[in-house]
Amino acid sequence: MVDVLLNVLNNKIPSRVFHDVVLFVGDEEVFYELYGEYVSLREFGVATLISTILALAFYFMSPYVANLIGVPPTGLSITLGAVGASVGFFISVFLTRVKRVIKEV
Amino acid sequence: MDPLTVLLAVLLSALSTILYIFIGILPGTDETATMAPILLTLLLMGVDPLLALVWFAASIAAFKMADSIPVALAGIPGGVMAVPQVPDALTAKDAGLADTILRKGIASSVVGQFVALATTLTISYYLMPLGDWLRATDEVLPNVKVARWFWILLIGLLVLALTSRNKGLALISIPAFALGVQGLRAVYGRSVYISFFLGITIGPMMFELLSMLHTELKKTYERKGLKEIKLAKIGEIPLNPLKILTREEVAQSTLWSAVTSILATVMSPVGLTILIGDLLRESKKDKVRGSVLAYTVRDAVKNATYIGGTVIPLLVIGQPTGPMAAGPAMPFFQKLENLGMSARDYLVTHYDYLTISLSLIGSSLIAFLIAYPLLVKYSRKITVAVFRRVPAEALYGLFIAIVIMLSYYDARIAGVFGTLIISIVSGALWKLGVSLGVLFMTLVAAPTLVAILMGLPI
Repeated sequence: MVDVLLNVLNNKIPSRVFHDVVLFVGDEEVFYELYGEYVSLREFGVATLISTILALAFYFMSPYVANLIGVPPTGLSITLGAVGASVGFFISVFLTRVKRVIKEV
Repeated sequence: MDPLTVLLAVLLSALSTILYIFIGILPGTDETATMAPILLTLLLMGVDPLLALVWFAASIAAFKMADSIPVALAGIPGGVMAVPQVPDALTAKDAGLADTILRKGIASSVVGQFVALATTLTISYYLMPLGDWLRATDEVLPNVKVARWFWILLIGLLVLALTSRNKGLALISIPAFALGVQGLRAVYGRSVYISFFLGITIGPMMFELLSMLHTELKKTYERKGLKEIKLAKIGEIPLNPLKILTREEVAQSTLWSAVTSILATVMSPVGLTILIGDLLRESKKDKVRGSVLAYTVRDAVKNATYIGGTVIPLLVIGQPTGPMAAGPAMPFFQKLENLGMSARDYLVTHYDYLTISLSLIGSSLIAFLIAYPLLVKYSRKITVAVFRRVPAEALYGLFIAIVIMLSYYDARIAGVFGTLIISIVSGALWKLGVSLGVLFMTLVAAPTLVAILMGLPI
């Protein structure tokens, strides 16, 4: 099962929505090294914005959700905020490109 | 423990293991930045501290096992603790031994974790009666009472400062940073903690990011094209760990795991990993043999220091006296509103020693039962999948979002700006050669340090 999953991840799914663009312009494009990784500042801004907006939106929704289900809002606000940030991460994965090229030696 | 708690403990251990295998393999994932916010989130969500501890022990097992995999395959560290392994990995790789160090690293991680658990749980059991004595206070200056554990923390803090790349700055930044923290707390009118802690955590990243707002500095971060990663090919690896390590490697890993797990109560895990590895490498005449031995034992020491640095402060002292406890494990020591006490105090008052010990051992066992065969069999495929599929921007964006949310939770909008200023100062000090551990420990020591400073007759 793990084999199948990893094969699908590695071969069967197209890399990203921008995949072809990366292959075409990758060598010329300028990125910035942040914490040992190459990043596009625009994509970084977009990813951060999406995750932050969703985290805070879910966070501020928590009193209403807590009211609806009848639980204290304190713990729920952090839970929902973390869920929002994670949703943002999964959206960002599809909106940003990987800036790594893997070569076998 | 009731059956539901046991079931939840098993599920959380498994979940934490799988999550931290991926985080461990990802390059540039700092341990404190990835472990502490998630642990803090779990505790603030209302997760039982015992379950949070189970999560944390499994995350140490998986993270420290996985973060050396990209080192062995590509010479890229998966976390800060894996950085000291890079030179030895490159030596071994050049000698065609990439798969050898990969399997040895994975096997010695298991040795490190369980030796450290056995050592520190035994020591903690006998030292636990000392806890009350350590928490008692003495009046050292007129109207300045200092808890006895503070002196252990101060020793650790000074040792860490003296092992920083910039010793002088590290030493003078201790009182300066403490004053800054207490000053901000005075402005806020309450003892804000989370936002300061998160500020230090993301300091290096924020400093680099904000440097890019300066046109000249931005150019120094510019890179053309994609980042090339050279992955070594590996052969078949046996599943039996006893076939992987030599007798000498088992003996050295066991010995140094036991020693460093105790030393990590006050000393830096990274510092200990560097020290022990360098000692062992220099003990061999053959460079390649020395590098393989150093790489292997370092993997054990990584797990051991993380376990030791958490368990002894947690069970005996009750205060974060070392960089590990004041870093990734810090959320256990912070008073939480939803509990009315710290998670540490909740643990020792609601659960007996045996339950806590069995939970730590059980979660480590589950973590290794999942991570060990998975990494032995699929380490290369997982690495390729992570490198090809997870953009750094999405991951960094996630961490920043969580930091902003938790900072807001801590002190509303002022908390967000408090995080910003602390992160800029921390990032600058880090760039100048001050270990982040010094700042984490200063944050814990700040109230007492400032009280002593203000109480001095000079």
